[in-house]
Amino acid sequence: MAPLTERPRHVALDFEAEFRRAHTSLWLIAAGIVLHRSDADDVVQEAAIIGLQKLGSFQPGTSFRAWMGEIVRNVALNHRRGERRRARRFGVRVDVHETPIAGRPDRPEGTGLGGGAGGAEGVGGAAGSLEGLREHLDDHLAHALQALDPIVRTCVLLRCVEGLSYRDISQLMAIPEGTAMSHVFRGRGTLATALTAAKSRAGQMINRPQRGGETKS
Amino acid sequence: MSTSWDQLEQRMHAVDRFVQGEMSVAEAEAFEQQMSADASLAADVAAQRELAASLATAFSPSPPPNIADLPKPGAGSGPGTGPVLPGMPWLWGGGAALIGVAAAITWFATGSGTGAGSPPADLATAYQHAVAPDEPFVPRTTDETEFAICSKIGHSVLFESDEGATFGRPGGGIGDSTPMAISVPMHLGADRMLLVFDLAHKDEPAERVTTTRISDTLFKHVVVRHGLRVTELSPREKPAMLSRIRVGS
Repeated sequence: MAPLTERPRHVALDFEAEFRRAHTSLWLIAAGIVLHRSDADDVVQEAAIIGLQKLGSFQPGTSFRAWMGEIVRNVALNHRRGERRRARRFGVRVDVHETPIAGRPDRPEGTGLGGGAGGAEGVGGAAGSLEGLREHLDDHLAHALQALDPIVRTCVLLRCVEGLSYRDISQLMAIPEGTAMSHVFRGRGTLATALTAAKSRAGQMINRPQRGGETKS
Repeated sequence: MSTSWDQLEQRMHAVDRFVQGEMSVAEAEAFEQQMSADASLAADVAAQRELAASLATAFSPSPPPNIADLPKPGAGSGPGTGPVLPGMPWLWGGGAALIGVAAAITWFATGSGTGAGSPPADLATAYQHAVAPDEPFVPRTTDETEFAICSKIGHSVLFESDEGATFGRPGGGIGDSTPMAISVPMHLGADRMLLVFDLAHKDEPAERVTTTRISDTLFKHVVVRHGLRVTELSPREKPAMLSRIRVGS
């Protein structure tokens, strides 16, 4: 007698193939919300586990990416809320194995705009430490990213990094297409300004005359 | 020169489509001509391209998780020697990937899956001999809410607890959930126990679980004596650890 719970093999195979196809979008959603590389990896994997468990609720013929996108969004937002809750209680990240990420005097924490979709209340410190991402970003751009609402930030990433259409972004983020476009324009404008400011500051530093008599041994 | 909102929006949209390569050839050529006559438009395009490049570098996705290695119903792995819990046929083969706390604890405790029962004798033995020979053994009921999830994965047992500190309160000896915690892996023949502490449930910073505290109790009494490896994890670390376990690294 065959075990009662033996699932059709093609279901698992389909999930894996579909998941691989959607992975970039899903990872960007997670990274956009939690702003932390390994957290994003965790979120995506957690979402995959949930997706597998809830595979029966997926409607064939609908967008798998959108279905998984919703799961990833929820897991990421829950993760973010959990991190904030922890930070409020303990003041720092308290992962047993993790060294808290040092704050920077020129990078104020908790400067998020907040209040956006998904209940974001602010970033920095509790979430969005940019761990695993910061090394590739200019400081000003990193700070601007942290200050963006996570949903806005995610829309920007889906557009700029993956090049998704606004229709796809609206489907993935469960927002109207016009809102997706507005989010992208607004977020990208903020980030571009930060990047320009960074370049401008870099130019000033280069042009600044050196103080006389200051030598390094 | 003032620019109306509509014009500004059209311009942003055009820059966006150009940068994303969504324009037709004819449109793109026309746009390039426009750029050559408008330095600020060219600057906008350059800025957007630079931004896109920066973001693409920083946010290059990690490799996807290996779906085949994730715990899922009906796809457990393991030695295949465990008892089968009636009504939960995904335990066939003894390789349950994820099982609920009540069923799991019930299973461990009674071996029959018919509700809360007394822990088996060897649990008491384990406690008496391995942990606290001088303390009376007081088994807890099997519906402990502190074990949110208890799973057997490969040769590891995963515990999630919102009261992690009960595993090792400093100076407080061993919590009364400890016998359950140490005995379950032994029952299952696991050689590693993963403790997932949901620290968010801890109200007092003083109650934070630290490696030191765990070392004081579990490591000293259990690991050394029984060769059981214990790894403490935050909830965040759990999925990655599960993945690592499953791939056997």
